[in-house]
Amino acid sequence: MVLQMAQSITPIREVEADNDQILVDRVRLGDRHAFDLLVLKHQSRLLTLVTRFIPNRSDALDVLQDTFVKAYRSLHAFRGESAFYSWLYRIAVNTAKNHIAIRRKESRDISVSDEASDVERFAVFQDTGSPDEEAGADELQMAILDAIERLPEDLQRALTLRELEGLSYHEIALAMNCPIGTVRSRIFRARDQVVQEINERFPGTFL
Amino acid sequence: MTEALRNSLSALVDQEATEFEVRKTLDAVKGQAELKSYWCGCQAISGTLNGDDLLGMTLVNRVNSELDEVSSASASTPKVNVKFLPAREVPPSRFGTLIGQLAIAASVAFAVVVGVKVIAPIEMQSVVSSNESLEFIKFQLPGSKEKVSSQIVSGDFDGGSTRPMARILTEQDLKRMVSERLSSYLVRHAENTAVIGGTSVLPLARIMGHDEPIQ
Repeated sequence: MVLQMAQSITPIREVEADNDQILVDRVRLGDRHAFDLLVLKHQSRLLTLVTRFIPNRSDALDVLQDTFVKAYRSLHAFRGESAFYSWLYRIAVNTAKNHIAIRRKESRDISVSDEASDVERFAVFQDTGSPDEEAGADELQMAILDAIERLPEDLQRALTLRELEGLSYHEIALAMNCPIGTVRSRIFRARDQVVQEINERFPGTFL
Repeated sequence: MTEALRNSLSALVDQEATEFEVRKTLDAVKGQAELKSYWCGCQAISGTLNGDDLLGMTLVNRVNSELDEVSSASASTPKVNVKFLPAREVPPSRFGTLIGQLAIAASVAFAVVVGVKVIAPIEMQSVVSSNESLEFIKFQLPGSKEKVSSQIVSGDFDGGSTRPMARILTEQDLKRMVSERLSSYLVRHAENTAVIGGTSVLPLARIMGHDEPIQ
């Protein structure tokens, strides 16, 4: 039974690569809106990655911006052999490393010229963003989690299987013993309710 | 923002949308900013559940402004734009070509007439009148650099006579020779015309009755 289920499961990566490829193709045709969707999709995940290298949130955002600009310019080089996120991942890591190297060089120059800069340099690398921004993001995350907890059980389960377990619709359908269309509908309704609740509580949050 | 579009967008978030849905949704995103906001909300849910930092639309706006700056800067840079215009082709004038062909044909015909009617009889008369000393009668057709000689036989055929004898070429012989020369001339002319890309006037010359068909 388990073997049969495993054989019928479509690999998530394959599906993701196909869909990202469509978006990439649209960007190549000059559709900037498609690139916006790609940025919005991968920005949070990549920010988490970049902040491992660069704890300073402002610098991390600069690096992330450079990452996406580089990706857009060199999109013709993406051949679709790997997942788009893997490609972005490599660009982000290289950009972050370059940023660190430049910062180190700059800080060496500063330390030679000004001994008092050690405190500032330390402050630069320890700053993780303004308190207001962090508080707003935390508050938003709490609101989202609250909204998810208030969802009906079937919607909540479908959403968490997708988001936390990373299962495909087909896998979720097997797990929940329901048609794929029902899974799709449940996940959509779950998201729809959460987004509407957030928009009511924090108008203009996602604009 | 219809429910169907939001449904498609939700499927696109999960990479489960069909290709048709992706295209339809992307086309709708262009005209409706709310769809992009909805996409952002879906990504915020995903980011929250996965413990990622939330960014909203701020980074997208920064990236877009950066890309716009780069594109506007590159647009403002003066570029040396060398444009190669296609060579102007002058269409061949049919009227001019026809006039040229007629002129050539007329000159050829005139040369033939002059050669046959004027030059040849005079020469023949002089040959007949001075049959003692003349060995060769030479004439040249217009355009032909090759001299043709009609042989005047000198010497005795019966062994003992020392008086030169001239075999007089009849008018028919001359006509045949002229015709042969003209044929070769016309052939050369046709060849030359073919080399420079024109049209041979050979058929026209034939129509005028001064040539025989070339085998």
